[in-house]
Amino acid sequence: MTTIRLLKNLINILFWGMIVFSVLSFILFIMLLFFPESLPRIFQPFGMFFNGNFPWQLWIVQFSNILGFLLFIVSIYYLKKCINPLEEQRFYSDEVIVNLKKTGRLFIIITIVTTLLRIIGLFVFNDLTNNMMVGSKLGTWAMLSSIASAIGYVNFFLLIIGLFLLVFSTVFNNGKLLKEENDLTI
Amino acid sequence: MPIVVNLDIMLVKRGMKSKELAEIIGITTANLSILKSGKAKAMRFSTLEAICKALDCQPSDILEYVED
Repeated sequence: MTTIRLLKNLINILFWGMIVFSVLSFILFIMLLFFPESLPRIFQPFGMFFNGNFPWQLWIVQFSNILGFLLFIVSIYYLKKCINPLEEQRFYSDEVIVNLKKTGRLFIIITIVTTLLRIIGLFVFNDLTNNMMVGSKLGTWAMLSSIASAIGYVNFFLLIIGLFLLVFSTVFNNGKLLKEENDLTI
Repeated sequence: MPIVVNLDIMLVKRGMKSKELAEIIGITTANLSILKSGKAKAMRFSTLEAICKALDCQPSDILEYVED
């Protein structure tokens, strides 16, 4: 029970922390877009995103990060929803099964979408970055290592966790069927 | 399900009430109701034994196979 309570608290902290962060980021975004002068000096460097000199290709990476972050908030919301029944000892309820499945699927979607966007971004601004760095295109090995770093171990781990949650959901579903059978055995 | 539970008939024959039987065999009236309504998925031998003992009958008096 202590473990579940601790997990619930951590998920709540993560969820509300991300909500607060998103709201603040959105406010900052709006301010940078319309009233950049009214912001404190510390936030001024972020203005580079909108000053026209920022390569549009780099927006792909930014977009993938934002999309990944928003999808992650939704997935944590589903995870949050399946903790309550667990705390009430309703381990085999539909709420747990459905929300675990949704979280797992979202984790997988996040991994696939962000990785694809990063790889696309890598190809799109390949010339741009290399002109800045070495003045020539990347070699095959350098490109492969860039792709590997675009996938990243965090994304890879998220994919594993997503699949794990899907397996968990199936296990809970089987558990539910067994429980039903046990409850109806007189 | 092709297995029919004829507990109601045996209760009438023995002039016993469901609540009474439930108390004797040590199960809840809710569970006895599940058994009577045919919603039960399985029946323990111990329950069957207790019912047979309480109603002084054979398992075949309670359970019957009827083809769908």
